[in-house]
Order: sequence, then structure tokens, then C-alpha cells
Amino acid sequence: MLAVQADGHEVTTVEALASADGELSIVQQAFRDAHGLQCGFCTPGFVVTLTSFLRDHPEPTDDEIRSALSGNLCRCTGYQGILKAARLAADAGRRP
Amino acid sequence: MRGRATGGRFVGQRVPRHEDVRFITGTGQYVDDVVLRGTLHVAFARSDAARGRLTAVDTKAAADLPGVVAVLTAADLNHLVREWWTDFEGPNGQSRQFRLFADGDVRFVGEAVAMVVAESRYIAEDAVELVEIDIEPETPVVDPGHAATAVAPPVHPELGSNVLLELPPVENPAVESAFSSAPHVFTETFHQHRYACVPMETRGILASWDAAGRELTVWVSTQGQFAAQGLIGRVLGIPEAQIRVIMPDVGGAFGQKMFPHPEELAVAFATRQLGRPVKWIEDRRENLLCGEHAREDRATISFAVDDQGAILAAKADFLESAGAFPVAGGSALLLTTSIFPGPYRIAAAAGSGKTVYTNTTGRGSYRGPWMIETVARELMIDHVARILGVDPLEMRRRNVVREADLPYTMATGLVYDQMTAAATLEQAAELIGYDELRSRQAEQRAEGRLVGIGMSLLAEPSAVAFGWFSSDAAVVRIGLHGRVDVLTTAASHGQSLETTIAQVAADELGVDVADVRVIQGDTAVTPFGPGTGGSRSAVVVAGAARGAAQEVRAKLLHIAAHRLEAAVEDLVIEDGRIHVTGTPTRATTVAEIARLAYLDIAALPPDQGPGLEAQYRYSPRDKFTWSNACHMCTCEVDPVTGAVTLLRYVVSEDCGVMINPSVVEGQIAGGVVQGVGGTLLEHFVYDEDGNPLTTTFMDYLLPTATEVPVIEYGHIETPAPTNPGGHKGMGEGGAIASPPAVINAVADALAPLGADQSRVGVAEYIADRLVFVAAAT
Repeated sequence: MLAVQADGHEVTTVEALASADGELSIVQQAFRDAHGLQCGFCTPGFVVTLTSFLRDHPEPTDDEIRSALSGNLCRCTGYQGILKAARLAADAGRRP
Repeated sequence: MRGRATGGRFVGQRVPRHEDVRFITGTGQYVDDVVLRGTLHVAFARSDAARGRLTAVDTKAAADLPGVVAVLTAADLNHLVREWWTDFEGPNGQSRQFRLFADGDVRFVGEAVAMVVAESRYIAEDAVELVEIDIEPETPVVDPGHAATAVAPPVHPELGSNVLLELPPVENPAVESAFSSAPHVFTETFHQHRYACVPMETRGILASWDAAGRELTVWVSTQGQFAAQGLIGRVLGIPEAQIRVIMPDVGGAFGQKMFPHPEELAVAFATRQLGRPVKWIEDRRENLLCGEHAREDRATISFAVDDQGAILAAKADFLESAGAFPVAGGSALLLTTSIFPGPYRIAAAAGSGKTVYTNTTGRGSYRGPWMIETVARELMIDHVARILGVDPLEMRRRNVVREADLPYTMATGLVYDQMTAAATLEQAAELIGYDELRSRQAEQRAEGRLVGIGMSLLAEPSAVAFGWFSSDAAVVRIGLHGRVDVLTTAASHGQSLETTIAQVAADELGVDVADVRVIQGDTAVTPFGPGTGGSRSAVVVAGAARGAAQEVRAKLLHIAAHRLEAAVEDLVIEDGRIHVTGTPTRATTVAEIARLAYLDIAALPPDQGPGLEAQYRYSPRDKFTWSNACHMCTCEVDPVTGAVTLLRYVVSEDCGVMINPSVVEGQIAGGVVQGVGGTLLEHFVYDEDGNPLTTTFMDYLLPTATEVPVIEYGHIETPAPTNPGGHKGMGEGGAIASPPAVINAVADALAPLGADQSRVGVAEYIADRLVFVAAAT
């Protein structure tokens, strides 16, 4: 998606995900718990993409997660921690 | 000295990272997040020819565009460059070719010709389009094999030849005798294609000259603030004391950001010329085009082998393409030729090689810059095993350095004081279920499936500790309220040092790891040190932090003993509390001792001065601290499309005492996927005229989440004798050992078709073979 396509729309960025008192969102916490980041540069993109994806697909398969994240690049983690974080977040979100 | 640090509450644990919170909440501060009022912005006009005469550079139209402040070229700045050697090289570094801007000719596509400085990046980019550059193209030299010949055109006409460095073959009677008497002699040449670091954050710098104070302040995306300070000072002719370099958060580097390049140096000139802050953030095309390249290597390797598959002697001759303007450390030849026998008992060995200039982007030190030696050796072992009909695992078992051989002196003179390659080989084989895989493979082959198993062994020369890399230092200080700061020489840009160094200091001091903050990346604040590189930080920076913390701990205990009227030996520090062994009520706290140390000096014992801090500089016992690993993977090749799917990937690693296993595994995973990408997807391609064909992510393919296997880990923890923590560096091994493991797996998959594997570019290689595969099916 190009930036101009967002014209007139509300845009959620990573800064909006934690609660006002600083409590991390499920996805943010999962990234921390699963060593889902190293240099941190790509992290906002992954966190927001995954947040949006899990909102629409609360019970994803591993392949669906990989496919949903395939538009984001990371050069540090080899995606191992990111995929673990995604699974953690999906499972945590499903918990009653 | 062996074993875990005192306490050991945090070292060895999967402590969540301190640095994570700011990154997952979007509050990291990378160089482009640093904003100064009145900042000017930069874009570069670059050469679109690989080699040619620069007949005209007309900047008038660009300079006339409203909003453009200056257009600077070689005529404005090149003569102002004082010296360009880095501290890593010393003054000899000036034998490496360097220039700020193309002058009189161009020598690679992407070489900077002019720099536009404007009120905004938009204006600067528009103005670049107005810079008129006339080049009369000449035939470039692109292929390193051609560059080494006498008929090749000179990349640098002022030099007599394209050879930057040559280590000629040396007469070695032991090697020659083994080769003349061995029952089998094999020789192969392996080619490795060019690929690159590609950090997610490109290069970037903000520089601000304070004319009144005659001080330069620089925020730069770098691996080491002091490396940048030294080079900028020498290039501009400014004393280091007048330069402050701040390393903000850095979005990955992998070797690309060890030293500033012409572009960052030009920005430092621009702020001094113009008296306003100047910022340049590299775009992705520039980063792929000219932000350092790596890996374009050839290796001709020969083994003398007996009937049982024992390697009696080895020879290797390497050829590196340095590009036109290699970065400091751009040639890895000295290391490559020294360590190519790897973790094997090869009694005689001789290495030689050449590094040559080509009309391409300069070579840099990408994660494991010497890794062609592991690639060539491990491919050769599989190649020889296949010819002899020996299983590749068995071939390695017969040659690997065993525990009983230690200490083992390599034929090239380097010594393994400890080496568990044999143990990692067995652990990896067990984890992947090697024997079962082999028997299943036979059935799969009978069904016509192309399934392969590949492996590699790696000895990693970590924590390089000589010259520029000799030492690191840390300051440990306990503040008035008991909180601990650790000021480190090296700064994290993904390595997790804000956490691992805190773990080490917390254990030494007996405080909670949450109460330790690591402060890094500012020449005005931290002790001098080389920055990250050579997989050094877990050994050298942790060694410094441990030493400083021990000194502070000793003082803490002295003051506490005086306070509690107890003997120092009877005191215990736990979780920030200090008490007498067996009498928990006779206690004080670290915070209380800190208060005494700063505010109640009369209460201190007579032999202790005020304050609670120490600086410690540390150099490991040896020049190298060897870690080792075994990689094993399985793959399936689609017989119709040639597509390679990695099915399993196992790494057995021995990096000594792990500070944080999650961090170790993260480093392995990142390196492995860079190597997998470099082997199967990433290929920086030049055509024969030196035109780059892969300057976007549509052409230069990075691995994504859909292509990576799940990586499985095995750990062996043999403490290193070189440092008190027993740690061994392992930051580069993942990227070194994965290409040969993957290539060996693909070659094994294709073996029934009679394929060989003398090229790292497996994707390209498979494309070459498709016709053959199609004919076979």
C-alpha cells in the first residue's frame, strides 16, 4: 500500500498499541517474551501487521502467519523469534 | 577461573531484553529520528558508468534551483582530505585507494560525483536530476579472474596493477611430500557470488558544526563511535577532542557500518563549510548499489587423501574481488589463508591468494568476511566423500579434531586450546536423526524424489584481540540511590548488550538485573573502545564489565564490613541486600552503602575514599577465543522448477558459557538466515559492462518469513580458558557455516543426477541444470 492511499483514513501506528499506563499489548508482550526483535528497526512494522492480522484472523495456522508477515523484512532474527511471538500472541488472544 | 561467574543468578538465564521496551513501543531513536533546527538535507549524484573519463560536471542548474544551498564536487572537497587511514589499519591504510568524489574519471557505478545540499530532501533529489555529468565510457574490469591478469585495464590508472594484496604460494616441503605420495589427490575451484549486508536501517548521518566552539557533533549509524571519531577527525583535519560522535539506536549493520564511507565524510565536510546541521539518510537503492558488497570469492582447494578418507594435506588459493574502493578490512586474505584447515586434523597445509581491484562497489567486512575458507573446505569434503563413496558424516568423523588431540596446533600455526567440533557433529547428527534420514532418503530416491542432507563444521575465531581490537573497557558506577550504571565501549545494534552486559554486572554485584542500566555509544560518555566486530563483545566487553563490577563489589563489601562490624569474608550480597552469613538481621543494603559513599564520608573505613565506581580495561588472554559449531539441514529440490525447500535445520553450537541462551539462539538464527538468503536468493549481479542489475528488493531477494526453516538448536557449553566468564563469541558463525550446509544438501539431493556443486549460487546453478533435470525425468 502506498502512503497516498491512506489519505483520509485513520492510521494506527505502534505508538498507539500499549495502554496509557504503559502495559504492553498482547502482541508487544509476545515479541518481548519470544525474543522477536534484535536491532528493533523492523519491529514496529511487524508488531502492527501482526496486530491487524490477528484481529481479523484470531485462529491462524502457522502457514497463514508466515504468509501474513511475508511483506515485512527483518535482517536480524531469521524470523524465528517473530514467528514464535506470532504463535504466542495468537494463542494468548484466544484464551478466555 | 573456569565456570560460571559468582552468583550466576542471571548469567545463563533467558532474561528478557532491556532494550525491547523502547523498540516495541516505537520510541527507539535512530539517526533519522534525531532532529536539529535548521538542518539541511543531502542527495548524491552518482556515476552511471563503471569506468570512464569524467569530461564534465555541470552543477549550475542544480545550484540555481530554489532551496539548494550548495552543490559540492571533487573540486570543492577532495583536496581538503588530510588523511584517510582508520585506526583499525594504522597509517598503512593509506595504501588502500580512497577518494571522496569521482575526480577526472569514474571507477564504479554508484561512485559519488556531486553532493546537493538543500533545505529539504525533496529539493535535493530534484536538484540531483539537474546535475549534468558527462562520462566517456571505457571498458571496465568486472571479473576478478580477469582483473588479476596483465591484460586487464587498470581500475586505478595511477597504480601499476589491479592487485591490492598478494600472498604468493610458499614452498612447503611437508605439503608437497604429502601430495606426491598420497593415494588420492583432488582439486576443485569453488565460486561464491557477490551478496551484501543489507541492514534494515541504511547508512545515515547528522553532523553539526559549531563554528563558535569549533566543535563537530555527529550522530551516525555506526558500529563504533570511536572508529567514526578517529576517521572523521583525520579526514577533516580536526583534533579528536573537538569531535563528539554519538551512536544512536542502530538498525543493524553486520559489518557495513564499521567505518564511515565517503558519503558520511562528505556530510561532515558540508556542515563545516556551510555552518548548518546537515543530514543524509541513504535510500535503499543506494544501499544496495554502493553501501559495501561482500563475498565475491574464488577458492581453488586441493586435498591429498588416503584410502580411508583421511585428509593428509590441503592447499588453498583464494581470489577476492575488492571492488574499486574497499573499506578498511575489506580484504580477509590474511585470515582466510590461516584458518582454512578448520577443525580437522590436517597435518600439512598451505594457503595463498590475491585480492584484486575491480570496477565494482567496494568490498566490506560482512559477518564472517573470511567465510569462503569454510565454504570451500566443507564443499570439498563432501565432494571427496562422494567420489570415495564415504558418507559425509563419516568422512568428517575420520578427520575432525578430537578431544584427545587437544591442544591442537593447526598446520598453519594457530592453536585450538579447546575444540568440541567432534561433539557438535555427533549432537547435530542425533538431533536431526541422521541415520534414519539416510535410510529414508534411499526410499525417497527410489520414488524419484530429490532429497538431500547437508552439513558443515565451523571453527570461529571469535573475540579477535590484537591491534585496534586489543581491549575493551567498562565503567561500573553505583549511584546515590543504589542503581547501577555500566558504561561500555561497544554499543548494541541488535546484539542485546544492554541486557547481557547487565546480566554479567548484576551477578558480580549481587543486585537485580533490572537495577542495572547499560549506557553506550557516545565518545563524550563512554571509555574508548573499537566498537562491535569480530564477535568480540561477549568475551571482551563482558570481561571489562566483570572486572569493573568486581572492583566495585570489593569496595561495597569493605564499607559494609566496616558498617556491620563484620569480616568481609562473612558478607553475602543478594538482591541488593548485604548481610552477615547465617545472621540475616545483621544487614544493610547496596543503596545504603552508596549513600554513605557519597554523602557520609566520615562513616567510611579509613582505607576507602568516597564514591562507588570503577573503570576496568580488559584484554583476553589469547588473540582468538575459538568457538565451534555444526550445521545440518535437509532439503528437497523440485525436479520440475528446481526450487529448493529447506525442510529441517539443526545447529549444534559451543560458545562456552552462555550469558543468555535466547540471545545466542537469536544470533545463530539471524546468521543462518543471512547465509541461506545469500545462497538461495540474494545475488548482487553486474553485467559485463559493470552495470548493476539488482538495486531494488524486486531484484535482490531477501528471505522472508515464508522461506525460512524452523531452526533447531543444540548447545554444548565448554568454558573458554581465555576469559574469566568462560564465554566464546559466536556472532558470525551462523552466516559462515550455513552456505556450505545448504549447498551440500542441494548437491546431495541432486547427486543421483550426477550433479556437482562448484558454485555457491545454488539458485543460478539449479537454473543451469534445469534442462538436464528435465531430460532426466
